[in-house]
Amino acid sequence: MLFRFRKFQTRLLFFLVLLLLSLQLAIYISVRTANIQHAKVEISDNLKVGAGVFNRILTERTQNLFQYARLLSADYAFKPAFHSGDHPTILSAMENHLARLEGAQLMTLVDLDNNVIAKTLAPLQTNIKFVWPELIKQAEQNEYAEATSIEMIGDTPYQMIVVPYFSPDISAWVIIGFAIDQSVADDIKSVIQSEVSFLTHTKSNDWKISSTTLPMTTEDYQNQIKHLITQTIFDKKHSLGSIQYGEDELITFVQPIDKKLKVTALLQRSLNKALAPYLKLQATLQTLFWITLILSIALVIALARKVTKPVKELTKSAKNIESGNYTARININLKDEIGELADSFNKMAKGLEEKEKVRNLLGKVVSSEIAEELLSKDIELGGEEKEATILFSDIRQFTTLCEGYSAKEILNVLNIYLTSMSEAIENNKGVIDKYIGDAIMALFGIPLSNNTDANQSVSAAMSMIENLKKLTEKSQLGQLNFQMGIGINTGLVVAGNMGSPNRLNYTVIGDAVNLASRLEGLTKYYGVNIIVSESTRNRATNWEFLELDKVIVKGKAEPIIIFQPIATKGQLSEQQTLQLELNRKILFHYRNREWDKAKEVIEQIKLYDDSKFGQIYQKRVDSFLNTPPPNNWDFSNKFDTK
Amino acid sequence: MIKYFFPYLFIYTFQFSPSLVANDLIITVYDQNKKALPNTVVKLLSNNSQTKPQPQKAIIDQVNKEYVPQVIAITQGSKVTFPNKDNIKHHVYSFSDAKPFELPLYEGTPANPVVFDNPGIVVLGCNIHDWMRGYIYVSDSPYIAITNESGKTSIKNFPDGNYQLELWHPQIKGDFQPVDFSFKDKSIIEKAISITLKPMVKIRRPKGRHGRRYEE
Repeated sequence: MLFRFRKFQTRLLFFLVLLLLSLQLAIYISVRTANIQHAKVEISDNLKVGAGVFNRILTERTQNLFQYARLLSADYAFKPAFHSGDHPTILSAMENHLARLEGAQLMTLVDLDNNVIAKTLAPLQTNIKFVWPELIKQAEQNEYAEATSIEMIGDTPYQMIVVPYFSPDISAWVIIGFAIDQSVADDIKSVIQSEVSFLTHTKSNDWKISSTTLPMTTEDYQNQIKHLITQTIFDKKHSLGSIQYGEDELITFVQPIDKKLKVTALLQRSLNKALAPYLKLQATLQTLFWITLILSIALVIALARKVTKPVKELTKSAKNIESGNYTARININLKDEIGELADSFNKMAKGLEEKEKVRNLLGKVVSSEIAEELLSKDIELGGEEKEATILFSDIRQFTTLCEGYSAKEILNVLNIYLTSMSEAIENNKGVIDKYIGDAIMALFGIPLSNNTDANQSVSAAMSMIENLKKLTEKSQLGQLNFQMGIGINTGLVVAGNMGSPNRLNYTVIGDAVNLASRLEGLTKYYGVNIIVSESTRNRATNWEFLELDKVIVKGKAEPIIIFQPIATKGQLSEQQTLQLELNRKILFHYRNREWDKAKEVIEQIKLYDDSKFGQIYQKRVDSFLNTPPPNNWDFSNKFDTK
Repeated sequence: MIKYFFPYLFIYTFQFSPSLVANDLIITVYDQNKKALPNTVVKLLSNNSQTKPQPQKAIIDQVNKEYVPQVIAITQGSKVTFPNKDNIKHHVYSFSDAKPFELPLYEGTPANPVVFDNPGIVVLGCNIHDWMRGYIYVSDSPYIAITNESGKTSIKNFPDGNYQLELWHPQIKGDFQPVDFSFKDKSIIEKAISITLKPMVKIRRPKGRHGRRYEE
């Protein structure tokens, strides 16, 4: 493509104008060519007719001369003069005759021995021979003893005729001639309405204009006509040619006058003159062209607008949709393809809007990540096994706390609480699986697996505790003083859609989930906010933990070690460092049955730890002092309640 | 074209003694195309005896706007009358050196015949009819004749002697070279001679009262 147009209208215009221009140009050229051709044909026909007329005029002139000469040759009154032999008398009688004859310029009387008896062109000459004996010889061959030919006198061609002079038998020859000169050319021009030129063949084999009705002739023009005449006469090819004459073109017909080709006539007509009527047509065509062009441009612009306006609206609406505004609609009342497109577009926008509504709702009902997961796949029952970290949180004694408050007040407080907690979870890339009353179940590494789920879950839990503290400090939870517990576990779960085909939940199930819930339940017992399983602790490498215990939770056979996160790795306070050390000592002495030593350290730790850790172990040590644990003691503490 | 033919139109008179009148010349004239040539004047001119020819009387009629006969041969001093047999007038004229004369428009037979004293050829025309042409051969010798339709004629009973034969025809080309003959003791000589004619120049003539303008 040579041209690129950004706008449809410009493109349409360009092609239309191009089409129009080429069409008009083709019409113009063909009309012009046809006109010129037609004019040339017309001129040629006219010239051929003119040539006929021309020949006829010359023939008639000659015939008139013949007739007059015949009258003279039979004129009885001339006979005595002729027989008198008196030269002046004869000459005078001849001049008298010549005067009667319009158009003839000369008369000569020649005796049978080719001697000039009298000659009007040379009145004083006697005893001279006739210069064109051939003419008389030609006459002698004719049954009426008459002949005609073209002869040159100086540069002027003359049409000569000869008839016998009867007295009463042939006694002499009468020769009469007329000049084929300017007046003849003018005369013929007035009849045939063409330019007339006479050219004579010179001795140097050249053609010379002897007379012409053209106002002037250039050398170039003369060369052209010489060429044309030579071609016509010697090659016998064209009798018709085109000759440049100034800015005009003369269609030229070559008409040889005599058989000996001494003189040729040119009949010419101007092409421009013949084309004059067509110029008017040309002008009309031009006007038509401009009108068509303007109309077409206007039409194209209107058409393009009609097309581009809805297209522009479509584009605008499409952009709206692109930027998330699904409420945009196109208002085009067209029944054509564009109208159909607009309808389809509106339906699509409506569809998108509905889908977006669903998506938003879904995002509210489930977490946005799960909503994405649900929307990206076909929703069907079943799930896949994944490793994930599950967080359970709960408000301790929530039911008891709520006593004395209206449901509305509780819901209000709960919403503030849950919003804050959810924020903490979502900020740490956690996914809220569900709210169960005041409890929250959150997932990390679901639905998108990552290696930081354990770290994130601990961060979330820490933030939750922090957030709760802030809520309480700001009294945003009213007079209620919440204590919350969080249990975290990492393990294999099955994630997917559960329920019936008509109503289902995207959630996770498995032992790992149960354990997390159990761990949450243990927080109250240990007097801590957060308890994580061993598997979570192992993966949450960003955090420092206190080991709490080795427990067998309800419904489980295997003991697990549980921990409490206390600080970000490497950011332990002095107190915490000491606490950690004491914690290890206690557990070491405890597990080595060094009850006294354990007791000693427990006393120390109580100073730093506000949890029930110290109390719990003191109780156990006191108990073991009375009843030592069995030999196969695995240090674990079995819980029979949740 | 000769439409009317009168073979012998003049009277031959005998003036010599019977002993001398003995020889005959029978002559046939052809043109260059071997075609028998009528209206040719045949003349025998004696080289020695200058016998004066006797004047005669002859007639050239004008019938249907033609001279009839078209050619006659007469001896010097003969008289010729020109009766007009047409119902229009004619104007007979001649500009010939032998006898220039004219008989201006007349009807019927002129009162006086025209006397041709000088030998030579007299061409007759009609002032009002270009094509009318007549020829009178005025001879200085008494021995003259004109060929008939078959180109034949004879001169009879002329005396012995040497003669020059001359021929003339209105269309003859150039001058005829005389032929020498010698006649003796009742000799009868038959001779065929051909002469060259000039092409005939046509003269336009109305074809008839209601016909075309010109004759072909």
